Amino acid sequence: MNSISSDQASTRGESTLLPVPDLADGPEVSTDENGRPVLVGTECTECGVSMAGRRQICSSCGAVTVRPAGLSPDGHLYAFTIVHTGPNGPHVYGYVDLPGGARVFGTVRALGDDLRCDQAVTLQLDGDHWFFRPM
Amino acid sequence: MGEAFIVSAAMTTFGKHRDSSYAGLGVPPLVEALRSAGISRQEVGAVYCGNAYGGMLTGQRICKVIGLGGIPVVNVDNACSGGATAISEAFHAVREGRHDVVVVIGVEKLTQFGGGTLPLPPEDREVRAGIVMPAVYAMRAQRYLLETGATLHDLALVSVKSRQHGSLNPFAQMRTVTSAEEVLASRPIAEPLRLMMCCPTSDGAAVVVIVSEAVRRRISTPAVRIRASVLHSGTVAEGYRNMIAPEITRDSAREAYEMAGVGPDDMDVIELHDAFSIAELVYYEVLGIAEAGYGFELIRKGATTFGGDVVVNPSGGLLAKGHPVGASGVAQAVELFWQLTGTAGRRQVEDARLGLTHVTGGGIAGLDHGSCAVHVFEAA
Repeated sequence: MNSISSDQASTRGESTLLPVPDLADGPEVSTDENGRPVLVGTECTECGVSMAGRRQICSSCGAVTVRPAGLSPDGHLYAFTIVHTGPNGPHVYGYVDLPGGARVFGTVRALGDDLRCDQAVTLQLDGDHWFFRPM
Repeated sequence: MGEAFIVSAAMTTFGKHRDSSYAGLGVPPLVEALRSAGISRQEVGAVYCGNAYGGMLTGQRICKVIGLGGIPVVNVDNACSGGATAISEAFHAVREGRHDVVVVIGVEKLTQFGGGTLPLPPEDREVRAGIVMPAVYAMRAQRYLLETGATLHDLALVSVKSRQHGSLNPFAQMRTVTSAEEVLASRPIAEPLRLMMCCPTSDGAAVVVIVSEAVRRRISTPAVRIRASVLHSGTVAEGYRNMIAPEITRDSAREAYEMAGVGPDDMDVIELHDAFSIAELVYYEVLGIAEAGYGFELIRKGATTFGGDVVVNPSGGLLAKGHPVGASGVAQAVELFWQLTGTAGRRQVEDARLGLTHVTGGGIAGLDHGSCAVHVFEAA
């Protein structure tokens, strides 16, 4: 009883096909072998592209031969903005481009005004909350 | 493959209509559009109803009020491109000979959510991380200001133009003119975007009636020929995307121009997706009326207002007319119907013969935009 796999039995009338339980994926961060926080990701063994989150299929080449792989904790801040519409006051968000090909949207923390586009940033953990800050 | 014509168009004023349901919004323009084309309920072959937040059977809830039932009714969501997607489906249905008369409704009631930003699908990874549409466009603006010679003042000039046009449009939600200073002084929403650089929360409905050549011939009032209809989803990109050169609009527009056998410089009037003022500058470029990186020069020169090279958003656009999500794509067609039939009144674009409409629908991870629909219309 598979969801998506390469030895698909779903076309036979007596087998079953389960959906991906993606709402029970668990935490979005884990730690690498050096104990550094990394975002949970998936790497395609066919084309090498990284994607954020747990995946079963490579959205670039379509391969199902993908494996869990933490995303690089370091990247570059493509763009950011201070959002004033949330319930808890101004909050900085941005897009971070990571080596391996993933672009991640998340909270960015900086002291004062020292954020700028294309800045090198790194992933940090604060309890359960992950965010990027300038290196 | 036959042709398809818009023979009538109607819309409600856009604004905050808290006392109207989706049916309350949709019925008046439905009745008016059928009446002004001289088309009876019995002649309607199908209805396509664009809406994002209407819930189950929105089209039917509107049509049943006038006793219109039995026929195929298709409810269409493509976020902010839903209304234009409904037009595209109607266009194909008529051209293929499936129906002679198709009604397209675009409708939305955003005040059902109170105020604030559009609710986005909570299953989406970026939505869980806090993304909202103003943040997307704010980052687009930030990159545009970084990579081109544009300034924040240019973003304000777009809002000034939209309000100027809106003041001429009795259907617009925001009809008071403004100044760049006032726009820049309005409160920050997602920096660098200020409140007046963002479209308001709106309710409204718009309807067009699309017919075959045979039906058009028996209707004596002016009509509009649909010369092109293009629909695309965003290209999936897990990583880098150039936020100031969205390929979905560039590709959709290029195909629409090809389909119509025209070019961007042939357009007399354009209604484009100015949900946030940065969008207008970016879209000047990818719709081909400005060189890449130089869209801001058009707004500075007044090239896109009355008397300019091409009038962009004579209705006031999403910024001033309002943006009830599923209605906007149809409202753009309504405006172009009025423009191309010479019935736009005080905001008539002189000698308008050819026009383009453009909407995009965004809001999920991995796609710069979820959808885009581009149409080319011609006076007929």
